[in-house]
Amino acid sequence: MTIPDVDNDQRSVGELILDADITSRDALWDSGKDLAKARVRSWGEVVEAAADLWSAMPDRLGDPTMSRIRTLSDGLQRTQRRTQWPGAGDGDPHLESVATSLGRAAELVSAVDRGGASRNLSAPMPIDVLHDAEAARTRLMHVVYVCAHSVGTSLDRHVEELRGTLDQRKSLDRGDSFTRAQAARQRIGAVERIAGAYVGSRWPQALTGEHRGPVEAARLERALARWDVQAHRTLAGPPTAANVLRIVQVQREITSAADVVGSVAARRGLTDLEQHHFRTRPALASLQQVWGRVAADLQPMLVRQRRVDPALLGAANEVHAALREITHEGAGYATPDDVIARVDVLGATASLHRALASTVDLAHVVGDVVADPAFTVSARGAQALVTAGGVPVGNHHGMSLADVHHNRDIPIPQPARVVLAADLDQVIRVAVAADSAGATRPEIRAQLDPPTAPSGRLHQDRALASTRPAAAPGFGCER
Amino acid sequence: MIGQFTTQPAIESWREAIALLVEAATRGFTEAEANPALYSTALWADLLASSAIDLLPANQDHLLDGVVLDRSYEDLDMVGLIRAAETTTRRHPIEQFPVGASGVIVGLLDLVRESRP
Repeated sequence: MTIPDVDNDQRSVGELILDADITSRDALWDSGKDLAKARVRSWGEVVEAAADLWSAMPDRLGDPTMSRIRTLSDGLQRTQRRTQWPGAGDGDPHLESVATSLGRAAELVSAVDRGGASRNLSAPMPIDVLHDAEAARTRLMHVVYVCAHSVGTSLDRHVEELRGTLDQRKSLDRGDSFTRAQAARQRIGAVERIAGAYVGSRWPQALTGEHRGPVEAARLERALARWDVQAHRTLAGPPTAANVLRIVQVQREITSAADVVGSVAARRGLTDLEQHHFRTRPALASLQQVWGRVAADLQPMLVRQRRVDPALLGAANEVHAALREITHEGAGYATPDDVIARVDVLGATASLHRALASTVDLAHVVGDVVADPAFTVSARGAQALVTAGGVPVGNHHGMSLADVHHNRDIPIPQPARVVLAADLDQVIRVAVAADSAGATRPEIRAQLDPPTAPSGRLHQDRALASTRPAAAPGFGCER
Repeated sequence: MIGQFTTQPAIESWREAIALLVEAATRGFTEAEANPALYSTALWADLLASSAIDLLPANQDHLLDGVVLDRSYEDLDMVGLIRAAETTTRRHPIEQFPVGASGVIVGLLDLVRESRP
């Protein structure tokens, strides 16, 4: 972070905005909940300085984006004054530095204007001036976008903490307000979306793993359904190793999440603990392992070429974000208490197990794709496989030196295709076994008993299952 | 910001960031064998790599495999490589990257924060 010395600041306008950009990114490295109120206090200064700079720059198109942001920010500040929230206190050093840099840049641009002839906006401007202004505008809106995101992520954590306190029927600290913090989060989120649209951000929520707040109940179900449909749709198109790898990796994550959420449900007595412990969990572990093997065998053949069908990438981003907001806290798993606080565990378990029910079919379709003569891998990846001994020497199957030099897509070497086909057969076998073990149909106790902690009467719990309607036989169980 | 990279150094830095993310994901998948919770973070890095690749000119994917990473990265773990990828994107002002780069960069910053042990 640059500590501006306003009286002796020799930075150019471009350097000042660049410093603001870097400082705003630094702010995002940390989004501690303690920062939220300080950032909300400083947010208005950032927008004010950004709007001043924006209006000082040549703009023949009169883009209204910054005006909209300024209006929203002014409204939020009025609310803050009226409600006395977040109240007096320190601002955020990063955001204050950003505001100072942008304010200084606005002064410099305005001074140039004052020093020259009055600007005639209807007169044609030199092309380099317009290009510079366009670049500066992009840089400036990017800063606003990043700052809005940093305020938002801090507020997410703050709101989550306040919700946790209220859920425990404890009183909030003096000066804290769940309602006002949540409202501020929503209003800054609107600014983030407007600025994000200007800089052309794609899949902003999914990419940033945005989460917290109450998890939207239907998000997971919707994301999983979309993923299932899109995976099949993509596999029906041109067969590429990158698409297949992405599908395999996401299937593994869904399986892992089913294990995490299912374990919480079982431990809390919402599903049959014995069934989960002795049958479902080992089946899910095996399924993760075999999907992992497919990925490990496929990955060296892609090297770094990960371009996937954009629709598949969008669905993957969304399902990843929907899972992570339930299962993770930072780099580790969320605690069972956190998972329960975030989501209807029983509903999420059911959604995940429904998603797993299509594993067998998906593995068959992936197998068909791998068997397709048009299925290609990168030439360097194939060469690496040969070098590593995965393919017998001399068995290069159409891979020429030119292919390797230009790293062209080439048909997968036959021995590698055989390995992948065997992997996928294994996935199918394990998925069938998992289905037979009930991994796609959790035994839900809540329909029979109130949710209580496991009592140790596991045999009795199982015996009660006979009163339920008989479930349809799983794959591999038909007689 | 327009739909393409405006300088050659910018596109090279972008490719380097992609290579670092792919390497981070690869190491993360390996680290996840001992600590399964890391799988999600590794996948996140890989998804971001795909999102970043999506901004590259379509006919230049093959150049990614030619990116040679500095030897100083060899000892880094997944988190270190993710941080290195984020730092790489700071070499150029945002307008030298194509439309959509802001979203990838913010996603990368979130990944840096969320991947901390």
